[in-house]
Amino acid sequence: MKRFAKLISLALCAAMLLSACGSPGNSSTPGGPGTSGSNPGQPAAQAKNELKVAIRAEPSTLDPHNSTALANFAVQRMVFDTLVVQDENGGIIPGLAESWEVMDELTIRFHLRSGVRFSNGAEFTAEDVLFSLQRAVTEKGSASMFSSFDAENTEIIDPLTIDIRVKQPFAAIYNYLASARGDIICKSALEEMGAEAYGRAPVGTGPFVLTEWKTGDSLELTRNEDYWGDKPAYEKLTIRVITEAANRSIELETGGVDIIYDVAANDVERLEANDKVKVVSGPGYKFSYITMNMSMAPFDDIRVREALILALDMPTIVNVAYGSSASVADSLMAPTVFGYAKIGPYAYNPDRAKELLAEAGYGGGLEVTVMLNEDRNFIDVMEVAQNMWRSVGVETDIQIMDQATLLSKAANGEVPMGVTNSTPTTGDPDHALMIWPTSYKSFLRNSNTRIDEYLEAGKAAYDPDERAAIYQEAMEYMWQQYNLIPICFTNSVYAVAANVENFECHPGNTPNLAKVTFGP
Amino acid sequence: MTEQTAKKGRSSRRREFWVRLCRNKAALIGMVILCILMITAVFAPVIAPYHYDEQNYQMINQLPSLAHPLGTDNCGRDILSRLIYGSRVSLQIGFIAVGIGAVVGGLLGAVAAFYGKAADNIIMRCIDIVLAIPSTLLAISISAALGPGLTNAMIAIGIGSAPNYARIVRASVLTVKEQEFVEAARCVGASDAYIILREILPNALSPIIVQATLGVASAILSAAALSFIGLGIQPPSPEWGAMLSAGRVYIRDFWPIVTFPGVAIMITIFALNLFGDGLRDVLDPRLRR
Repeated sequence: MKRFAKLISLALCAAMLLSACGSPGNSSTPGGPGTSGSNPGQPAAQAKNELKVAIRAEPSTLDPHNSTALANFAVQRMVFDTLVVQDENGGIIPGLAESWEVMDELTIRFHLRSGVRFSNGAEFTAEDVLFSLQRAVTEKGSASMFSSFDAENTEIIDPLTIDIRVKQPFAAIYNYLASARGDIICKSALEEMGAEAYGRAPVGTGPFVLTEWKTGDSLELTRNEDYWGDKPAYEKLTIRVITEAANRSIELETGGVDIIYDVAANDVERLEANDKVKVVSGPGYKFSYITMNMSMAPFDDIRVREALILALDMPTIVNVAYGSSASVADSLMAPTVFGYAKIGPYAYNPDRAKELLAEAGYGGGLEVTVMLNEDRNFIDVMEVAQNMWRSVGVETDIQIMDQATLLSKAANGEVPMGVTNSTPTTGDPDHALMIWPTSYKSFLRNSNTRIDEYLEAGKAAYDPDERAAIYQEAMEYMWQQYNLIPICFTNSVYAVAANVENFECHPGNTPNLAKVTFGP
Repeated sequence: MTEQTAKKGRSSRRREFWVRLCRNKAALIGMVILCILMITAVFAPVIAPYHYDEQNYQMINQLPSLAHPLGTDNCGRDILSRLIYGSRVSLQIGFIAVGIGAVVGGLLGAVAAFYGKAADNIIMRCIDIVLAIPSTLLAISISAALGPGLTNAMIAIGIGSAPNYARIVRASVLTVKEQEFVEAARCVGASDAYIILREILPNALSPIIVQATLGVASAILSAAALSFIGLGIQPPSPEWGAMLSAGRVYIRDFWPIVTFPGVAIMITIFALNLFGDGLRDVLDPRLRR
């Protein structure tokens, strides 16, 4: 009997704890008892000398040519420089190259900045540029993107002048050179250290130097006192890895960090109501979509593809899964990408979808398999889509797996339908549409020579107006092929402490933190 | 004549078991909660006010109300209905996984104990190796290798728990196998399989029952953990752990979505543990007066 009483009291305690955690009155008042831990009595008395940033994933490596993840790029942005830089409006401005001139259709001469040193003291020369480029076209993380560059015929004119050549007319050259894979690495350091060690302790010319990498926790960077450009206003940059979005928000609210990346849609409202933090958001590069494998039945039938698209009420799906943090995709690349043109969205028409399915011979029902990773938004999208497809007679088998498994299945052509996204960090349409050509073996498995021709033409057109026109025509044609189901364009949402100033809202999740200053 | 006495003995033993069990209030409460859960699971379609995947996009993240007693989730589904249907999945996983573990582990343990010597050594050392791997980690690896899904999750959890049953059964078989009735069976020419299955195991059953009851609780927890990391149930099945996982991003803004599945898991585990403890008190000879 005594034991029983003990057990009951234990259960009651647990219940009380739970309900206390869950009470809505507690959690929604900004500056209430839950958020008082941030020393309100100490308002930035001295100039702050450290910036703390929380990102969602730990970089796998900082080797620019073997990096494919945004987390890697975010840190590389601080450590390395590129020949040219993309400003906030997508314009190209000088970086390690002071100026450049177009020699002919295939050659551009870059005049390099003099007196620039790497963090190990080595001087930056054209040798490093050539070496970086040679590596970019061969290493597996960058080779497909840099396949148009002709590293073999790229020529060093003098230590501070280099002629970069491309294999065919290539309009996206500046955007690609400004991307993370265009980072200039130190030839002597890499040869001495080897690629793996270099990826853990990179040597670059950037505004910060990586001084400590606590695996699973954080990366510490120190200001590069010999930086050639404007020096950062603070000495130390700590990049913390916090995978859960809710935890990043809490960390910002309690003053543990100054800036957080990838704010969850459901946290935005609360953060906006808190006067100690600012939400910084804007349109991003990220485009999410559902793919259909074109070399697999029944997706080789355009009627089935169209039916699957028309059966989805995409505005509702996006609203349920993303709230206000994304907008329904009305094109095949985000508005932030050069050459964007509004084409859609597809109109929701379940009756027409049923007709099409019946015409295609699936009037009695169809079962499809969709594979995706553990991304919460993707799962939400699929749960709603599954429901909508069911109402037109399509049953959906949802298979959730880890990203590595999903990608290897995609590479083997084993994914019937998939949910994924592209973040073309270059802001260039050639990059944004890279999943479409026949040569790209992944989720889509397209083999449409007309699309291939369009994309080749777009790549080669140097005149911006001509180029934009080509891409518009291409996308209008691609839109009619119903090869993928566009979901949404995700905003880039950051949140910063109230005293953080000059933070740029970068559409590709790699803002230049060196420009950040602290206000009162 | 002997048949009848045996029957009488068995039924009086059964009555004694019930009397003892009913005297243990905690166990009784556990049993009542379990019965309610089972009835809920069996009659889910009748009890639940909505279908578990009925989405109403105008009613997203609603607090508890008359129409939705426990509120709605982020896809506008009734949380109460999902919990009710979820009890099916959770109980199914709990009992089947334990069944797999108890049968596989029990047979291995019985064979090891019965034959002794080399067989014992080989089987038990293999089981030691499996025991050296944390069971959750083992379940994660098996489930990752087999692929996600309900059946694979049950197999993964079952295999992960098998070594425990092997050890328990081996210990009790060792004590039983030297007894006279086993000798007698052998004398009349019964086969090894007959002796193990019909003579030894029924007499070594009580520790297995106790372990299995407690094991259901940990199997449900493991399944919740597997679903939480995306390896268990696939959408739209409403497994409690999966519901918790899906709701965790809303933990600060919308409490019902995580609180109720959590409470459901807690109550079930609590009931199973009460019942399991009670069973042990009743069945364990050393604890008898």
